[in-house]
Amino acid sequence: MEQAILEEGIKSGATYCDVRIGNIKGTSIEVKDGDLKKSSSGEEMGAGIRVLYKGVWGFFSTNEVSKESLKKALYDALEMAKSGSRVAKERVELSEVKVIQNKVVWKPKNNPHDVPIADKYKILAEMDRTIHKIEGIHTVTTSYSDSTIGTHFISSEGADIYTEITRIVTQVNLVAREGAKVVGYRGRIGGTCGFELFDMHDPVEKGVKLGESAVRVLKAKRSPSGRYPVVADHDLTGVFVHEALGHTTEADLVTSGDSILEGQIGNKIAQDNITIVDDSTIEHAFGSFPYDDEGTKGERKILIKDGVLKGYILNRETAHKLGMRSNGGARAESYASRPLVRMSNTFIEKGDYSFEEILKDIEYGIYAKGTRGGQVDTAKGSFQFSAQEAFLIEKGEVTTPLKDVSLSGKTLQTLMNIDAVGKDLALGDPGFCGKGQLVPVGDGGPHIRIKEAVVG
Amino acid sequence: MDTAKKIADRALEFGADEAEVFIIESHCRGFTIEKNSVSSISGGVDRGIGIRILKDKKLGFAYCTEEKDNEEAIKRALSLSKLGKESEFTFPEPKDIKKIHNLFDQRIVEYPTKEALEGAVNLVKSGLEVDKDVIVTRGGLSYGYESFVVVNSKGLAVEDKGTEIHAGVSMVLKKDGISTGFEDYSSRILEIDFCDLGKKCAELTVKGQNAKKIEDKKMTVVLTPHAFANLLEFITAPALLGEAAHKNESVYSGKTGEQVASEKLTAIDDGSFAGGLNSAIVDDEGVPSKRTVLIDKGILQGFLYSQGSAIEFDKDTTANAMRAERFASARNYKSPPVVKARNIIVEGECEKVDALISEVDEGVLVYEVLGAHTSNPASGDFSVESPILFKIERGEIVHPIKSAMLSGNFPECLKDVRGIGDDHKLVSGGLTPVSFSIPTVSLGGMRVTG
Repeated sequence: MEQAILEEGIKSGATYCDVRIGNIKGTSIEVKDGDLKKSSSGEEMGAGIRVLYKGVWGFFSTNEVSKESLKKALYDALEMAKSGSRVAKERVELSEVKVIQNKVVWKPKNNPHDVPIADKYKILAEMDRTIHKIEGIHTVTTSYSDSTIGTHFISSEGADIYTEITRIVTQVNLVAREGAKVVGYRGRIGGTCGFELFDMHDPVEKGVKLGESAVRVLKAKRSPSGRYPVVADHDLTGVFVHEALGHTTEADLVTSGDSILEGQIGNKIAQDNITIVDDSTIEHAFGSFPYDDEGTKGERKILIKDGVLKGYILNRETAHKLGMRSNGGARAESYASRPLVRMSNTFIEKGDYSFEEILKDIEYGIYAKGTRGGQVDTAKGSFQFSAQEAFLIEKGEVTTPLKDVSLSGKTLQTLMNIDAVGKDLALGDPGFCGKGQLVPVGDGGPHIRIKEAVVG
Repeated sequence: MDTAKKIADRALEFGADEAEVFIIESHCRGFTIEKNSVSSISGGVDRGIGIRILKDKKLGFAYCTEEKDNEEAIKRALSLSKLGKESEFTFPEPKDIKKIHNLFDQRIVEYPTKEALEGAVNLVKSGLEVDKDVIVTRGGLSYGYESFVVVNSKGLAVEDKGTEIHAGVSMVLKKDGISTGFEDYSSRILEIDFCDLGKKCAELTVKGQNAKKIEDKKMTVVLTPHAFANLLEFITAPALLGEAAHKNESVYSGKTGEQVASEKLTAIDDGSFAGGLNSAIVDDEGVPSKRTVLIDKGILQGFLYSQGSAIEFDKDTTANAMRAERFASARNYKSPPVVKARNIIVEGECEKVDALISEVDEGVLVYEVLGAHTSNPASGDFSVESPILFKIERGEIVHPIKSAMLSGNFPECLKDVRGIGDDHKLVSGGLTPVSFSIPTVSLGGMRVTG
């Protein structure tokens, strides 16, 4: 049925059309201080149709998946692209891709939909109980959510791909309080997998770690502000790589003049010790997927190799503009949104420093850990990201605990300032990246040392 | 309305003691601009059903997109309710509802794509007229209408509809260094000046050329509505929720009646505000929208509640139930109601923005902040990067600044309000469903690090 509708699109003048039919099943629960606060379960269906007419995209989504409704969506999308084509100054073309017919189901070992809801609740309740035992913890909010997303992608070029992936994420939000002093702290565990997530990552252990950090921050002093050497842990390295570098390698920003990395391929933009990768094929990682939302196979993309900018994250449209090939970087939040160029799991490759060696030469600096996220101005290359916890480094030793700090700076300057990369590579907490649409991502890296960063 | 009533009745037949059905349908259209040209046009219809039931004093919630799946959803909601905690919760009773102006504009429903696209062309053109080397890196328009129904087994049955239009644009100029600019516009009615939007954005971008560094110092910070909204969204709005207050999670806990901000500052939440981006005749539980004074001349008056948190903490609901995710800005059928600020309005003795600036001996004028969502929501400590800001010396804007970090404790900054502007603007939240009608504000107590 879908193929026939797409053929109608081509007959009506479109040069390309595709449709994504989605089915999303999910459950989520939230527990606060021992009580179930929120619970929700449901199923969602819908489709999004994309057409290219005279080099302009038209897109229409609906959550009625009947033949009539899809047909109407096609003609709506076509109508819109036609009006757009009258005013557009630039024309979109698509790079060639391998036309694929395939079915990939990433079957979880332990399907969360077969796990009784009471067991999901039990995980949160146990985290809650254990974290509350830590003195100074005031309130604990934990949440669990699972989703299984089935997507059927069909294109007028003949691609026909069905994928099904399951993701789970558990989040903890803590408030520690002592008199008038209040501190918030949070963390997540998650993955593209089933309930076996909790065999790989112990939620209670994670919760206790977060709780202990929260209490430490509560009692900690304010960080000095100014320019200091900074050592970042996996989480913070991850958010730096994602915010400061990752976004500037998104090819849609590059081709619209919105990235400092425009025209920089082949240039040395970081120290020799820096290799940065975006990889959507890492098993269980939160940002992994088998095929992107244009039917291109997900892959490991080398963005920076030994300090030299090697590539961008590309979809078919930007690949054509830049004379490259798509590397599977097109992602949509759901069937209801148009795919954009997005990251998957982005990280700095490991180096050869031990943690002690990284600290050794620092006379006075900051060790910053964990993150609440960050943001970037890709055109200017300025970024901000925040650590949840910090420590002073004095004479090569981690000493006094400090409150949460923020770091800011210029992407290119900071990349050049990373003068030590650890050998302890790990992905940080799973995250959600917002660029008009929210998609699950992973990010991380080893401990790194930034010679000088603005801390405040 | 009939479908909702039918499903609510079905839920009672299936064994629920009380039931509530929420149906929302939205129709949207929009386009994107990339590098001075329209690149795509999109639209969509989204419709779904959220069902909440009460059984043995416990709540359960489930959703579906297709009406035929409602029985399955009811069963799921009933089964989830078994895990819940017993409470005194009961769905709201029907009440008299007042009409609110400027929430629906038939012209938006019928807005021809062609006309919207002409607007896009004019936006780009007027930007390039300011400086031909400016690049419109990204921009777009989205508009549409939404209708919703809330029905519950207490006899409550309300429906309302609304329209909305948003436009935003970012530009870059690479000449004497790189400068960026942005401008946005949101409204419930079709009164949009595309040329003005493009012109303002380009002017800001051009003004940012030849930027200089700034030395580290504590100084006065003048925040434009957009930057002010960002900090209010992630620090102040969550601290004013009833639950955070009663659970002692907020910097404002236990401070009702106390001076918590400058006497120059009055903050109100108003879901019944005419033309407000989050206004509707009722909240998402069907309770008539109202105006709640939160801070009156600096004195804390109260907090925000939904039906559930009001019953839990023995207060009255302030009609602040919204069906939205923590990190999503749109209402939807998939989320059970949570408490959120609707339209935060800042009032006070307003003066011209020029006058605010002329009173600053040394400070910065800030158009954009990055990373407000990384603030510590419990303590109110924040540290944000500003890529678009200007130095003020002896009452005059002297030059643009490359970028700077602004940090401090936001509740403390609000105790040091130097002045409030008269340029109230409708601003929608960045990552949460809260909206604002707020002016430029001049604040003390921030560190600026260059």
